Amino acid sequence: MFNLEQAIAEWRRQMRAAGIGSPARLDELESHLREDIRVGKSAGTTEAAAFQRAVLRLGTPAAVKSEFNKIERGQIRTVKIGAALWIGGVMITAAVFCRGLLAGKINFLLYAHILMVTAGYGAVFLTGGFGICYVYWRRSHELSPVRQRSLGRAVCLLSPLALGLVIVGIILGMPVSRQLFGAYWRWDPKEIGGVSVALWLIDLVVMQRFMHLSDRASMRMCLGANLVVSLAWFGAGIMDHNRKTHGGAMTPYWPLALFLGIQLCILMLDLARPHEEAQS
Amino acid sequence: MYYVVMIEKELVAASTEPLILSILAKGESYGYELIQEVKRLSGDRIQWTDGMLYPVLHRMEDAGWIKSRWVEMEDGRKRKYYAIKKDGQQALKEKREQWTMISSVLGGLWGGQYV
Repeated sequence: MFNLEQAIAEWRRQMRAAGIGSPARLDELESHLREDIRVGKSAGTTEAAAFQRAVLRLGTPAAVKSEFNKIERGQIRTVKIGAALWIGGVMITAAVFCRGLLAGKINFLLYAHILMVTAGYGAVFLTGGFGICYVYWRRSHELSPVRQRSLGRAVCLLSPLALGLVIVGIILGMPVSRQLFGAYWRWDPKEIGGVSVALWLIDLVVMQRFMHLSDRASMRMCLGANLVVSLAWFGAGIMDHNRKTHGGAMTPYWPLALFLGIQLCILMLDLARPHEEAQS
Repeated sequence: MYYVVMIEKELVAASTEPLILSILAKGESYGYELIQEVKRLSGDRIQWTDGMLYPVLHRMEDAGWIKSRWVEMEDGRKRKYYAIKKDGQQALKEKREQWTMISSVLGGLWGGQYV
């Protein structure tokens, strides 16, 4: 005997197998299916026939997936703009330091080290920026499934890229340190900062790849990465500069503190449940 | 003999967004109702594949033209309702101008007949 609930469960399984894995999408398609079945039954069709007709009208799992693929291919504008800014920033850095390289002020190892670290830290800031967009859209109820997927995909691509760049940057920095200071590793604030960023990114990438980290948790980790990179890059830079001034003009820490404070506020905003979530 | 002139696939695809925006401009609606409304208005000549509609709705939501919310019905079932946003109103205005212009050009070419 035909069992509608079993038939719908099987239909959902086939949709999932075709690659329509998002529960929200499946819920919406199921809602449509049930509506069509209800109308069919009220017109006198048997439940089994109404189900078959509704499934046929909705399309095969492969056809429905193909339609969704059309909207999944592209990235949202925010991601494209962010990627363009990052590429532009890396190119500007490469051009600026290339002048020093050509003038003989820096050697190629130092040039490559600067470029890799800048590109890696820049990529981390970009993922942090996407995390901020995620929190803003989520709080303002503007986080559509497409935006969520696009940001999630961008962060999943950028995190391992940033990790690779930072690790290469750290490795390239070691012979540079040997050339300039006589030791491959000196545990100075910049080196400790670089290792901290790499460890944070390893944590993020492992959780993304092997522990099925949710988009929201991933975005929080990216916001956290913003804090780590700020301290590793600017904090260590200010500390290093102030140590070398010997009574000269000190670089103030307050802009960094302000930046960190803003990031923390955004993180707290995401941790706090929205009003309606708290009510339900 | 009576037969229905079906609209070509490409034209159906091109008209999907303006049709959805125009219906939503009258009030919020959900996927199944949108399909039925288009069938009714076109006298069954425009027939969307049901599964095609949802990716289009999601794309329009991403573009900021429409917004959605889940509503629980009296029988406990849930429906996802869509409503037009300010940007959607603006997009509809632009699409309306474009379609009106094409209609007017074709009308002129075909001897002033109403297209």
